[in-house]
Amino acid sequence: MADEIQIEEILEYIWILEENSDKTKSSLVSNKFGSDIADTYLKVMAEQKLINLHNSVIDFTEPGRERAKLIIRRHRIAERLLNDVLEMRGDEFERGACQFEHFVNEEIIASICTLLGHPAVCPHGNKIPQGQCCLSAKKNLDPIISPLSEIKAGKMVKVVYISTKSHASLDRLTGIGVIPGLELTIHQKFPSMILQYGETQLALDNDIAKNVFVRIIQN
Amino acid sequence: MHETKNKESDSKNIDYRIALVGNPNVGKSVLFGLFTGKYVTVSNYPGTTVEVTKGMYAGSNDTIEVVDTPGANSLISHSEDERVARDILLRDEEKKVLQILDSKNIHRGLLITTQLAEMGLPISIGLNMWDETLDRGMSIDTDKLQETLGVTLTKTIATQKYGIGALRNSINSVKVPKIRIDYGKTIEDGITQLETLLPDKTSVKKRALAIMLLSFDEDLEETLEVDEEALVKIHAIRDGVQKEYGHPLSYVITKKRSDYVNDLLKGIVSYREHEATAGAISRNLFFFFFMPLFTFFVGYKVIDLLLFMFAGPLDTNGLAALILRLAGGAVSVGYYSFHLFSREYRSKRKITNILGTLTMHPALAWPMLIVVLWCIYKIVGQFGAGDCVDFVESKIFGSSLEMSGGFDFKAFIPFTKIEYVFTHVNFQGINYYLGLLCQKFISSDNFFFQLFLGEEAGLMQVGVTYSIAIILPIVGFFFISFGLMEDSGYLPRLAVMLNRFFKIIGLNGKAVLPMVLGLGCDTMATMTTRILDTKKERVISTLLLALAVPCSAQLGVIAGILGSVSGAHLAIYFFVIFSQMLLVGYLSSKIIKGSGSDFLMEMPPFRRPKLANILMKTYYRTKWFLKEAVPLFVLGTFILFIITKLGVLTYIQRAAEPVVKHFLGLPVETTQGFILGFLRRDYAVVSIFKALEKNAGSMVIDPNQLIVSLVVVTLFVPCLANFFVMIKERGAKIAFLMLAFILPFSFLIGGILRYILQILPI
Repeated sequence: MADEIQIEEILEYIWILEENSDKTKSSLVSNKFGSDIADTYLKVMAEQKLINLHNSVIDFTEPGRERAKLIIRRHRIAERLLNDVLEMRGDEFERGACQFEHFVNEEIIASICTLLGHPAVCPHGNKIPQGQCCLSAKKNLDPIISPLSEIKAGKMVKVVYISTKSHASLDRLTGIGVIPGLELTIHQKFPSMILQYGETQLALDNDIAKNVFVRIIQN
Repeated sequence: MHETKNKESDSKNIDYRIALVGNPNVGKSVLFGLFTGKYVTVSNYPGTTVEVTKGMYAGSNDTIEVVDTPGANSLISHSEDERVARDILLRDEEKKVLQILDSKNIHRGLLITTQLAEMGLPISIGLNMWDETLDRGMSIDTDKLQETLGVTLTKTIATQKYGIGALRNSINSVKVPKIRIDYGKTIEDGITQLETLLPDKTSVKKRALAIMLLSFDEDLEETLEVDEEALVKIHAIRDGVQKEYGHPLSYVITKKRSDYVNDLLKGIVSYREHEATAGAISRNLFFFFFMPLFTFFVGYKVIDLLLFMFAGPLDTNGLAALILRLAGGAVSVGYYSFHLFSREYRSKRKITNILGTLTMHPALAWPMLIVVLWCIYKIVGQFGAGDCVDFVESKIFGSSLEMSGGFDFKAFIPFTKIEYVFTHVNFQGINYYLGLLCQKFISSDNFFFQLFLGEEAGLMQVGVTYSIAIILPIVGFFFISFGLMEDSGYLPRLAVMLNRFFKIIGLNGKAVLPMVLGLGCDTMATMTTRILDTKKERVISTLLLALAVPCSAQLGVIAGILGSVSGAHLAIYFFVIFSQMLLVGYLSSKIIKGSGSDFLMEMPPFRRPKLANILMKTYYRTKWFLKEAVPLFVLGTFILFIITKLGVLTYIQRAAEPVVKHFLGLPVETTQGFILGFLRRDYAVVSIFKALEKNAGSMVIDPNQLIVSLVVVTLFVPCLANFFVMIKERGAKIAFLMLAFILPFSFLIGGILRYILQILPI
């Protein structure tokens, strides 16, 4: 079991390195986990055909990539859950998410993912790999967290997170005060969406509203 | 040369500068006007000030300069206006900053304060719109806030000149706010590293510059003039810090600031139970008298316009039509009243707030929009462009060779035929007297007489008369209506309503300002395309203004002529122009490179417009217009004069014959009208109408010919003044490219329309 967790941690790390478009060198893995552990486990992983090692450069094999993807997905979905719904912060949050990923099976993750409205990014703004549930996106269950654009007019919502990466003008939202934690009312949706918060009425495009994720707090 | 000279003389005697800084639409320009006595355009539309305006502080003997900056929500530059505002603050000169904030949106205002504090600039804060804050039941503990910030706070209501004296005094005691935000270790380390790389002499604190650099402010790198080597290091540090965060650094930084301001405001801002309500009398008047009356009118008018469009003016006088109209009015009253009484009556909100909501209601706002447009047409198109222009053009200016016949000075009661003539004024027109005077010296065939007073292209008879007789009434009335829309807050609501439409043509709701202004004057509208965020949007809107937005001068005449034929024809005309706008807009949004921007606009509250401000604004706009346009029209007339004298016109007519006659199916004489279109768009319409009339002889003009020619002349080249502004704003290359597209395109559409109309049974 301990082996499995260690392997998962390393797979996860390699995924993150790849995501940052760095060359995945075994030396980087050694820096993070210590050279003893890195050497042993990389060898084991190569034997299990999870990775290919060429001259200390690491590449995922197909099964390896699939497995890493699932781990990353579990981790980031867990982050969303702890951050948005349970509102955990700081250490508690980090530790929680790390433990979570190793013990939860795919079915439970799919349920959580649906509950959260198939989030696209983690609280840090990194992409969450899509699972089967996201692709079919069945809406038999009303998600707790959904994009602003999906909410009906007249509801009061709280901004949970803003997916900043996918859109340039989201930056401007922060300047006028739309940030996580803000409570706002959806004044109307047609002809354009208008939000009301404090003494401000703000008109915005659906394209922007799609990237603001909120939780309904009052009908 | 000129500029450097100015700078020298400036620095000699200016003691210091006062910079007005703040979010958009908080009233900086009003205060600027109060301080300097100089007028700048003030409106209830965010982003009215695009350029920096400077003026001398009244009573300072030209030793204190006041600078009005465009509104900015952040001093990290995202858009042109934010960059302009920021660069003024970065300039190395003795300055005091007066930050104006909208007290009801104090949180957002203080976000700017944090950035000013980081820059280390001494400031004083004006809490403007204090009345609206009180109305909303909001209270701000200013003493406590003043103590926390260590900066003088002054409550003001700029439009009522309340608190202005205190604000003036506070300029003498500016201080740097006591604000220090901890951005967390990673960012703070980055800031420290960047600070060492920055040049030693900077006008503001290095910490502020470092934070801007971390926020990916690439414009700043240009402004700072750091060398290549340092730039590479700066990028490395920035990217290093960014890696630690999933969100863009600018977002992380703003979030920290926002949290800081939230903490700061705890215990300072509180809300009372009830907000101000409207008085009982005005409320009841509003609910039981004004709204039923107005909504009845809305319903009545909408049906009226529909009848006009589908049945033509002749069939709409019967009893059935009257019943239909009354029914429309009744339905409208019922519908609106149901909404108002079920939703608003018990909420006891202020009337302006109710109107603010109603004017962007998903369903109820549309009929109101139609009526608003109709009212504008009545005022501008009929009264301004019709009656006033007729009077000024034929009676005041008149003709150089014929007497105008004078006019009656009379009183009359509207909607009746009762009138009382006081006296007959025997004034024969300025041009006639000038002509009379000239004919004492030279004959009317003389070259110079023709140059100045010729019927065809005399500088005085055509150029000056046109620009003053046509423009003054039309543009004046249009600017009054436009001012009303701006200051009441209707224009931003129009942006909300039309956003989806503008999205199709590659723009967004914000483009409502230049587009609607274009219905008044395309030349001025082209200048205001600056308020759009990206270059692509500016190019598209400039093109569409030149192509498909008829100015009020033209629209008035066209609506008059086509309306007298039949409503259906007017409808076809609008449909064709509108569809071309959609088509060209859609295509150009696909073809032109670059990106559009998203619609994100704060809705200013609905306010009762101040008449004085509207008149003032109209005066300045009209004055600007006359100053810019009159020389251009005179120049245009001069060109036309040369063309006529050289006989070039006949050549052009002959060259255009195949297109005009065979493709468009119009008489050759109309060519002259098209050429005139370059000079004065409305005159082109009249000229074409006259040519068609002559051609038809005793017969009625073929309405299809009329539509085709009017569509072509609308789409056809913009007027000369507009073209010059296009060159100035977009550059000669783009302007000529647009011209090269518009010319053949307008004829193509005209030709296609001709064949379609031949098939259609109208």
